[in-house]
Amino acid sequence: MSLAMMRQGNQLAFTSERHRTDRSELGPGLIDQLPFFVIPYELETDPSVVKRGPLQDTEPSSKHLSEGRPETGVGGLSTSGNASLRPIFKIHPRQIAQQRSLVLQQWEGTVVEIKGDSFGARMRNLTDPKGPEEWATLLLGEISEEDRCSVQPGAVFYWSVGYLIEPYGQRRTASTIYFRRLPAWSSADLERARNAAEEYRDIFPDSPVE
Amino acid sequence: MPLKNIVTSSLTAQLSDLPPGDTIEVSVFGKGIGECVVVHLGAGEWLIADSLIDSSAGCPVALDYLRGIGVDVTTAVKLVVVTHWHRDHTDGIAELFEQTASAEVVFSQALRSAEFRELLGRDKVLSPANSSLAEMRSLIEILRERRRKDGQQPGGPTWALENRLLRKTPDGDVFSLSPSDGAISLALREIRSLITSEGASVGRLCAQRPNETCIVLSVRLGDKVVILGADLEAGRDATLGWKAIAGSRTRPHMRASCFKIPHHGSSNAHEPLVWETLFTPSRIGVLTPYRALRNPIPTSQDIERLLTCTTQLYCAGGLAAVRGPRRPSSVEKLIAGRLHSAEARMGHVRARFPPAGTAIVDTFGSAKRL
Repeated sequence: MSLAMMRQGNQLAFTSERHRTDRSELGPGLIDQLPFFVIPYELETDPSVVKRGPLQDTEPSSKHLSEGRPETGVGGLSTSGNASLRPIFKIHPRQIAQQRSLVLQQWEGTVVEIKGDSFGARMRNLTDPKGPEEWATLLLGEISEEDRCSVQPGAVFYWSVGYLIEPYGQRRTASTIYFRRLPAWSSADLERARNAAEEYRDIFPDSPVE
Repeated sequence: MPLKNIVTSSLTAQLSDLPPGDTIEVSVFGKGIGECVVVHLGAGEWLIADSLIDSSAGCPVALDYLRGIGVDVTTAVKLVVVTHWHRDHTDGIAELFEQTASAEVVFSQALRSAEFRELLGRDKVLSPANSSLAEMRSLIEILRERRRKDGQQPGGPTWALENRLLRKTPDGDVFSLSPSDGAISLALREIRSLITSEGASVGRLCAQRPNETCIVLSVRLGDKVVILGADLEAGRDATLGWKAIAGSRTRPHMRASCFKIPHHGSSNAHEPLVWETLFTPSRIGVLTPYRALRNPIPTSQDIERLLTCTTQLYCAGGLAAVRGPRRPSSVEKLIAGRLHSAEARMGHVRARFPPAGTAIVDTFGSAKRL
């Protein structure tokens, strides 16, 4: 199941492409993969929240979230003429702007070994580069499903720990691991690499016996 | 193996002592991650195998040591050997080579190919800061700069392969005992596998098995021989690793009395035939620990095994990790014990073999006899 984000005016909303609005359809695994700033919001499950009309500044509150419906209209979020495409939840841009993270420590890791349900990695402290090299043993379960195929020896990832600061000042501890994605080689990249390699021809010839 | 009289320890050893011209010296440095070996070849000439940064000195430990004992590194170091391109053996090797202006660099013959050249080119395009190849590329740039200035080929590279004479000294020689032909073929296959085609993922330019293409060195001065085992593993068949060296009919046949034990004393580098065929009955073993693993090596079983193979066994570098950095308790709570320091305190084992008499082994820093 995938999510689509809609933006209209100054509001954002997420919908499922399959037009499902039941939170249970998303499953906890998928919800956990959503970026931090989305997670704090409960999903709207009542299609009646979709109203048409001019976009208004909406100030979501805990009351709205607990009741499952906003008090003000969100007409700009619906897609006219397509009743099945419904907003799941909405985020006010002021909310996003006010949410921030405070990173206390960050490391760059290189996967060395994978054993059972965990993997080991050499860790370089990015917050204090003069610190000693460290070793981490991390559970594969801490890695998102999407990133799990990237967990291979030599793969580079980043681990940050700190706080997520909510719009109203509440702090939550946070630990995030994400893997560096490597793109596919393009013909232009390969041409640059070939040119770079040519610079080494005098030392590394074509044949081992040259 | 209770041969007590072959080794003594000079209780008043000073790091600043220069070895006599007729004495072969092996100095092994380790700090939990990384390894460097410095060898006096005789008559004031030196060889350095691999590199490791001493964080307190802020420079390659070999340079710090040699300068400390009064050696002019620009003229006295004759060979800089890159045994393989794992990061823990190449840390600071470009700086080391830059400072040793009279040295030739020695690479494994397994790297002498168009494929490895292409790998270097791709690594340059990607420019990852922590790449295993970045230090190699820096070293190669220094080598090319020397060629441009001098117009000839000072600085090498010299290509190491099994049983090749790398340097002749007035009363000794330096041979490479590996890589074997089988290892070179294997290395080429692996390097090719790292070179993906257009549209394919960039992948990691990180070979998993360069240990099999390691350069093992045999250094002789008079009738004293030392063997530096790098990270060479035992080998899956008779054409690879230590099996290939032990089974070789063309290697130099003088037996050695000192062994820089391969691959941090790990069981995957243990080949019983090696001890029978390459060494005298009384032999000193020196290893470096490697802590960047779930189960750091050597393990206690490794140490027990090696104690039965050697007359005396030394470890350069502490077996326990240094204390990790101080962190706020909030961070410690989030880490939840998943992180520990991989480094140990720097250790230095120095073994000197005078032409007559007993060997003298001294330990400095966290190094100790096991």
